[in-house]
Amino acid sequence: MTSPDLELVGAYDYRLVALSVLIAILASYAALDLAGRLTSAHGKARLLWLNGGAVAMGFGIWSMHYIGMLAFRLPIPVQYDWRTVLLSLVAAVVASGIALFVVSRHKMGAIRAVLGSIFMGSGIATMHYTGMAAMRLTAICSYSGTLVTLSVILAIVISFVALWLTFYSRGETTAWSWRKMHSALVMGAAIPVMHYTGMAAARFTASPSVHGNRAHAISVSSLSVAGVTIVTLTVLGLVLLTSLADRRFSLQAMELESSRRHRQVTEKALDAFIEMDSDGLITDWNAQAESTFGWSRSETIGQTLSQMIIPDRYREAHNNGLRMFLATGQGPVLNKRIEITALHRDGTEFPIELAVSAIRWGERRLFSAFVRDVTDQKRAQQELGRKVEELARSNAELEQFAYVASHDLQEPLRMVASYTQLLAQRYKGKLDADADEFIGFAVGGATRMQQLIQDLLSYSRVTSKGQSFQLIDSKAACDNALKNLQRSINDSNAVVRVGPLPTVLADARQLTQLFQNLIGNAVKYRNERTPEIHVAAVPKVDQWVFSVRDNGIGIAPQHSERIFQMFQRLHTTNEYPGTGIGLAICRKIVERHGGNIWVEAQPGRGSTFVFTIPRAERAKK
Amino acid sequence: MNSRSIEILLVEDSLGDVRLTQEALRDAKVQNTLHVASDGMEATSFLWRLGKHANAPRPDLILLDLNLPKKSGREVLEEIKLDPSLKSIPVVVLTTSAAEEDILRTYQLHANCYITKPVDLEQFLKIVKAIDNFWLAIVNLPSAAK
Repeated sequence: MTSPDLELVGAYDYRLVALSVLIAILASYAALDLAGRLTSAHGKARLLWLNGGAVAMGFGIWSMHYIGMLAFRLPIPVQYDWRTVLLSLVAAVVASGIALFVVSRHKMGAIRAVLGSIFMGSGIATMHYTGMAAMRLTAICSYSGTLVTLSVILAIVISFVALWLTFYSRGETTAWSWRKMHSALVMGAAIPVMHYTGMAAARFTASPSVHGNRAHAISVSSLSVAGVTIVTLTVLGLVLLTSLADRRFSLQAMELESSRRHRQVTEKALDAFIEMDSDGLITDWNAQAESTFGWSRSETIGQTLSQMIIPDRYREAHNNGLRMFLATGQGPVLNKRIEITALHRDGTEFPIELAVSAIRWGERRLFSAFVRDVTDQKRAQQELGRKVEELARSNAELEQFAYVASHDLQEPLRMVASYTQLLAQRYKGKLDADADEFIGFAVGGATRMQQLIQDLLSYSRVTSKGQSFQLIDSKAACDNALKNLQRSINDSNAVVRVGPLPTVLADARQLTQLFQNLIGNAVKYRNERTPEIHVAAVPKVDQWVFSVRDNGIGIAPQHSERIFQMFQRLHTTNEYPGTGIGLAICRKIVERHGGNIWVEAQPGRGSTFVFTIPRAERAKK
Repeated sequence: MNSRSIEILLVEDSLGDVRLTQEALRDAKVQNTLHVASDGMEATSFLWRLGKHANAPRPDLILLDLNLPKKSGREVLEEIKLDPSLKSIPVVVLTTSAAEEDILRTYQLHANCYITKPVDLEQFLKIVKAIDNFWLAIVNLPSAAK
């Protein structure tokens, strides 16, 4: 095969290759750094960083590429068309801009990363092959399709890796980090790989007839190589320096802003804020401190704290405490809330709650305290304490009164009742009809009053004569109650079913009385049906819920509260005998055990009395 | 011995109760003489034959209230049960209190029985008659020790 054309074999100038790799690494580092700045910038600053960054990074990549091209030496002179060269620079800048934009977003999903790397990779490939097209030489340039494709794929893959690395290293807040350097090395080494693959795809065949358009062609001297290198390094260096300065500056700005913000926080705090140095001199005093203690900030700064706000008699203790802490580091009042007495400007003393913490600021030791005037809370607390005491006393008095009254009232009442009865026995029918009737009323009234007093007595005994709580089987208590009610149960043919009942912490006698009253009511307030009574208990989270269900006359909902009050009845004594104490006693017993009692009922459809008792295993804790 | 009238000492400050007891014992099966001491001091004077009670008979049965002026029924009971010549006399405590601690303490002091005064007249009469019946007719009492 004869051909007048001769394939030209190129050679690399390895110094320039090394230079190109170095520039690639530097450009990568600059890109990583820029991404970090870009992410933390907002508004105009962000736009500026994006544009400046794209130019600098594009310039860097382009410069790497060009030096790589220049490192390739052909045996014939090569000139470059400067307009095309310029176009390739634009491609590099655009690719960099896209890359920076993608990595500086808050989120980067897989799709975004892939799209970004396709754009960026295509941009770099465009730059590369546009740059190649700028070559003006007496040879034909042909490409190996496989290698071109490979170089484009490499460009995209490298872009993807670059984006990924950049995105995850952008959070680095320091200007220098090994992590960033590693990423830069990977990226910087990978970019030349794409470049030199692209170069390898080109094949130059000498053809003297080919000149190309040389109207704008210039030849590249060693001087221009040096120029490009210096400009590139300068630009990238400037970018890094600017980035460093900006980082410093923004950090300082952030610190300043944060300290101003904290100043505002302490100033606006609802608590008084006071700071004191190790000499006991006041170094800070906020607005609330002014209103709490009556001294203004300017009057207090630099003054001795103990003189200003600590009552005379506590000053010594305060100073000792301070000395002890400075000497030993022991501060029993530090880092907790304590209550002490403070001194107001007007000489009055008042209670405060404060939390003191010690801080070290360089060489200095400072003590800061948040202080709250607790005069109102104190007063409210005392008031509450007094009320509780009063209530307890009046309660005890009432109990005592009820017990004594009913006990001592019994004696004279027994006399009245006994002698009216004796009168009735001896003289019934011997006096006139009026006398019989009057004696009858007197006997009835006395008897009824006796019953009321008995009830009052047993009501007050629930608390005054209550036994201590023991773990008892509530089934046994229920059985005792049934035994006591044996006669009325038999008389009414009532059917009583008792489900499994738990062991509870209770006063056994009172629990028996409780069951007895409830079951007794269920028997008493029956209708024409045979009484059916069901006693059961179910466990809830922390209590047992007992129920006594009947099929009796029921209760209208509006009376469901009234029936638990003392001597409140829904029926006359003629309809159903009784004084109306039973359920009041029930409620008192249940409440003494820490439970509740209520009724669920409808007239004519029976009643269910429900009461709760705390579960023993929980109550014991 | 049945022909002898039974001597009963009632220690009771309430005139009403004294009268009721008298009424109840009026038609008792056994003939009896009811002596009344209205407080604890008088009861001891009667029992130990002090002062105006120098000629008092030794009672066959004592009905003792617990709440008494001057000296409580408990003290009287204690003194009776400590005296060898008196401790064999049955003491029936008849009181308004139904308190468990009263009942327990009274038996610990060797009372022979404890009865809560019923509020109802019928009950009261029944109880006094029962006392009369049990202690005076059924039980064999030791003959008076001199």
